[in-house]
Amino acid sequence: MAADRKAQPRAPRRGPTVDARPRPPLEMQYVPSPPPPRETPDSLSHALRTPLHVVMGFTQLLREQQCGPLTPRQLQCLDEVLAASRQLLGVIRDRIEAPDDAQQRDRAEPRT
Amino acid sequence: MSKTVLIVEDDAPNRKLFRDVLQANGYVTEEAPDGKQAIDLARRRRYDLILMDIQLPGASGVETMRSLRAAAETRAVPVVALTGFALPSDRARFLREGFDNCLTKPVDLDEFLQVVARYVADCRAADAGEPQARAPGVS
Repeated sequence: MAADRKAQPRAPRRGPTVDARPRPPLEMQYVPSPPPPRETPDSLSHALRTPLHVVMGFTQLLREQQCGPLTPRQLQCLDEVLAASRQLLGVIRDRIEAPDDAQQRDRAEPRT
Repeated sequence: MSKTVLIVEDDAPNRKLFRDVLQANGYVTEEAPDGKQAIDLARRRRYDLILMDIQLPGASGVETMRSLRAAAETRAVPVVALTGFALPSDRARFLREGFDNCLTKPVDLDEFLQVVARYVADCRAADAGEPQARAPGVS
């Protein structure tokens, strides 16, 4: 059996196959993971803060030119990313965490 | 001699960020993606500081910190919590549990480096027999 396989002529080698079919745009390829059951404000805030930390952290690292020198235009772009990130953090604080915190305090100290 | 920081974090991009920032500022880093590996590493060598995520697979950051505090060889190592749990009650809870400090993600890198430098300095002072003034959570 093994000898038979050896005796067969090899197919000529070709380069990597390229799928020439048109690809869907990137936003159509994104498949969001299903949300965990019963998302609480606390877990939602955590789930948003974790990747936001990475976005802001690496942006700050680049902004401080710790990864190499940048042009003024590139610095300006990073400032835009940081500003938008801070805005998003504000939304997380104001719309998710603040109501949750108030609710927890109400539960801890019921009004008479 | 370089100061060595153990990063305990399950999220790879977060680990890379802390590694890049610390190494760019002259620290030596080691990494553990979960509490069990963190405890194994901490028993083998003395770190100047441990940075601990809270939500870890298996034992949580709080449970891992308790195990470190319970063992004589790791008890004195400062442990700073790094967490995405951001409510004031969360921070108070982590400090009550015994973390030396708690930083909330997204962490400001300047503040992060100040906290790291302070706890590493405290650790060195303790080694040299100087009196420690470690007030939990004061940054």
